[in-house]
Amino acid sequence: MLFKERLNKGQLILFDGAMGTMLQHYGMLGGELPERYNIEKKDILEKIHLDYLMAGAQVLTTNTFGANSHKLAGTGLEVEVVIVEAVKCARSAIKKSGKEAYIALDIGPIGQLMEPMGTLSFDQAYDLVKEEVLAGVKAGCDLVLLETMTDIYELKAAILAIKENSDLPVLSTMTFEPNGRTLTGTNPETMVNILEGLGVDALGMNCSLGPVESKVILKDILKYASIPVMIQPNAGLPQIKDGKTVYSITEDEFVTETLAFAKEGVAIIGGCCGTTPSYIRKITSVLTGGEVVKREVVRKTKISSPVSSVTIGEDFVIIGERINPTGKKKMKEALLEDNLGYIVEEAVQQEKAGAHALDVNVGLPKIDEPKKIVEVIKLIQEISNLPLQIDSADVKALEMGCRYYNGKPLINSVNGKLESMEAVFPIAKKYGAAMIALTLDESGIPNTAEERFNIAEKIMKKAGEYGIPKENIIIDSLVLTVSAQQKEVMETVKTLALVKERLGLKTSLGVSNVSFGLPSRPLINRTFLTMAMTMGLDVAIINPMSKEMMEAISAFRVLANLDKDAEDFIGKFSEAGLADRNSDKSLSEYSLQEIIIGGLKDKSADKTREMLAVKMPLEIVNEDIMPALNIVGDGFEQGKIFLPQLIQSAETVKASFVVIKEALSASGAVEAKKGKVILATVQGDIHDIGKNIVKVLMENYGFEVYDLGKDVSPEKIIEVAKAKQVDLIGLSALMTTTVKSMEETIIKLRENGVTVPVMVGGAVLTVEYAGMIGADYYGKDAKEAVSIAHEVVDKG
Amino acid sequence: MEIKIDKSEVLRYLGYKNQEYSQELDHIIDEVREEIKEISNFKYTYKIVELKRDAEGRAYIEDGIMPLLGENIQKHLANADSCVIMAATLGVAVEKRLNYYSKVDLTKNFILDSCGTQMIEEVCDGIEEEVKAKLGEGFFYTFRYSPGYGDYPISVQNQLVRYLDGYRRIGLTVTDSHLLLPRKSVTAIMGIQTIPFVSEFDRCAACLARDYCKFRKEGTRCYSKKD
Repeated sequence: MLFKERLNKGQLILFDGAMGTMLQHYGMLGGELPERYNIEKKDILEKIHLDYLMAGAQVLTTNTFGANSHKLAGTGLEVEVVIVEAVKCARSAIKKSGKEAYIALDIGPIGQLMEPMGTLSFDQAYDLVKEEVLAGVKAGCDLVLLETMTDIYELKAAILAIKENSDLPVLSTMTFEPNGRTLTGTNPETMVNILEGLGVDALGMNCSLGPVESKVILKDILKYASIPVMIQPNAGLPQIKDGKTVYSITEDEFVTETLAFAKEGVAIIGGCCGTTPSYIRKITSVLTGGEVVKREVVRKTKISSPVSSVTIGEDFVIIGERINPTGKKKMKEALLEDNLGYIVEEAVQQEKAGAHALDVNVGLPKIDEPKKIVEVIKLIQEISNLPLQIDSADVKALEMGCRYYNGKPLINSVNGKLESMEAVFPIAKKYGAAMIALTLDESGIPNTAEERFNIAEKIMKKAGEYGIPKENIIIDSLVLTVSAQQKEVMETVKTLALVKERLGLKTSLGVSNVSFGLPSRPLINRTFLTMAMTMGLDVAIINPMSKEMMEAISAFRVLANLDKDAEDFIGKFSEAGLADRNSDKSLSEYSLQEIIIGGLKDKSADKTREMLAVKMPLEIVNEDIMPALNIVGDGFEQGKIFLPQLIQSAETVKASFVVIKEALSASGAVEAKKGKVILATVQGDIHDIGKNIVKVLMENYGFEVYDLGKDVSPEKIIEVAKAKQVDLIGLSALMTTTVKSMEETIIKLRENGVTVPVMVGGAVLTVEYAGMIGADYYGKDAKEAVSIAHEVVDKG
Repeated sequence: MEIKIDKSEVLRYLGYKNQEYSQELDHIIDEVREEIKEISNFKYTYKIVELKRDAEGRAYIEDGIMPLLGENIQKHLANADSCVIMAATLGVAVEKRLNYYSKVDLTKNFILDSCGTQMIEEVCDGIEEEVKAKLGEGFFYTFRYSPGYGDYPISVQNQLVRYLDGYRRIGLTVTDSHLLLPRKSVTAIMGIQTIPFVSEFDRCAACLARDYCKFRKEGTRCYSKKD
């Protein structure tokens, strides 16, 4: 019987126990590579497998937890050999036992942090797992077990690597901390939502906690999971006694707790660290042949970031629409010029304003949309924990967005055209995405609610054929402009009710189109939104910075009994709440110079705006901002102020410049740039504070800065230096070990014909050292870096 | 374990030398000190292991996987009978917040970074206290010695983290260039001996940054004053 059939039989599946614990028992030392046993001490390995089989294990886990080429690097072991031998050992043990058992290819975490935090890219993680899977297929294992995973993004890469390179069933378990989250912050609900979407065959938890501590987390997993749930707990919590790891609970306690899990509805049970054949024997003696206890799970519409999930259809959901260039000049410029700071700011502001998820659309002519959308998604996910809505008319961009997104995405959008459904549904199915589905088809947008409902129904049925569950479909009945199609606006609203009642689907609308061409648009928008919410709208795609819309939603939540006891509403609108929001009143008491010198960055934008009424933008720059900046810079040089004060002032100036730039661009004036500078922390180094300080100060002084980030390859610097014709390259390295990398970068720059002056900086550098590694300038601090940049540009 | 994020130390990392500064900045520093305590799910792990001696009297660890390479670490452990090998990290949440502030608020970025440096030191102090309490009277301890000090190669990070099963136990990783990630992490070795510890090792003498150290120029040191 294939493992998948066995899984569907509804009978408990019993795994083996710990491998590492047993290897240590047989003499493996701390830090020794367990996979070496697959080659050098097969007899021990086979004995362990045999013991588990005799104890009643129905699935053997191969000794390949760390058998990826990253962990095996420098050990002289090869992935394929290690895996093939591991499977052979398991198979040989099965033969000797005369029993039947499945062989699970064990895959543990790679052991590197994923980007953007770490240096391991999604594609690298994918490739490492692919190599393991191909070896596992060759060796003939029956299934793959992904276990002890802590990063849901790594897990996503691994699942795709397995599914795209084999037909093997995938079991996937994560390890949780006592705070109920994995090390990278994923909670059980979010794990379930993402993994079910990716189509694993079973999911659950293992390791880290003992059965007692696991209870709460397991309960959550069982509450949300509609597929089989697996658990492999530790024998309690690990403790180190006399240099040896021991576990906190007794065998009997472990067995009692674990047996209780079966009663809760767990389908697959085994043991993790600290468990031995004796533990497994006690479990199998009770559970062998047992039925999986049935559970009732209510399926809900949910989208997830890596750390949290938003349920659609309970409380009202707001999706921020601002990251979209359509009709937004500044966003357009930001996307074309890689002004990532602007995009970050939009994301942060929308989150602060109360958005529950963010729409991401980068569609512009002349832009490589699939590439760009991935870049922007990664950027936003670095700074925001909100789920994202991937918005594109380009199917390739949707697919790339879904692939590299960390979490369960929402696709915007599909519609009732056969072509659209055939293009988008396979993507939604593969990546487990929810979709906004528009009620239009080959014949356009129907006039009546009934006809739009028919399209919604057609979409739902067609999605069903692809195996997409209906909770992943959110119907958008399309908002038309009331000034052009007045009698059809109510049809949109009516469709909502029909879709909800008859199909049980969730609904969404992009609201602001309704008011085009009318005065007092916010009033129309707000009223329309209220009508739609009353008819059962679940999601609005709006500008969360719009006070009118957000207030209408706040009021609606009270009236619809969503905001219990009006707690949120009172918090926002009571006198105290209002006073809190209006506390900035002392603007006129300060001059812009004082604001800059004092580093009062919340005040500088408003103050600048106020001054623009009486002064030209460039006058403000030359007469107010620059003198203040110089005072601060001199103060820093003389030790009268310390670094945080310099940074505060620089950020204050930055906020002023946002306003100045707006004014300049409104007046059609072209901003004069001082010069172009690349800044980068060199390859291998991950420290970027110094570089970031230099950046903000340089921008203050009018330089155009291309900030390439940290751990930047020489190739990337060469590419940008050539493409942007920069005047200066600034390199940063904090460690003595990475100054070497700085030297190599400079050599490569020169070899590749980049003759631009190079300035270096970092804690361990000196003028002499800088000269030795071939740099042209040494900037001892941010202030000096700016002086050097001036010098270089003036010379050039 | 008591974590207080000593403010005077934080200010030292921020480069403070008795300048006047605003109340707002003072508030931000205090806020961030609280913030880091709130978000950090700090973790640590350590092993106390016996030190063996080879024919030349050089210390080694029997497992053989955790090398004690170089003259400096050997001198450091010259009189030690055993040692604590430790690793600690403030975790991914602090790393994420640092990345967030690096894009959104540089002032807080710098302050959080300094608070992180101080906090991880306090966690290591806590480990020391824990070990001392466990072993009781009659022992003396060296200071904590980390890969990358003196001639003890930074590449030992990889072996040390593997030796402690650092990824599995506390989520600690090592980059290809041997840096610890999350950044706010420390690994160290501390000798345990029955005679008082007199350091022959001048931390600065063995430091590659000695000649251009900004702390030394000011007559201070980069490490904590009390050591």
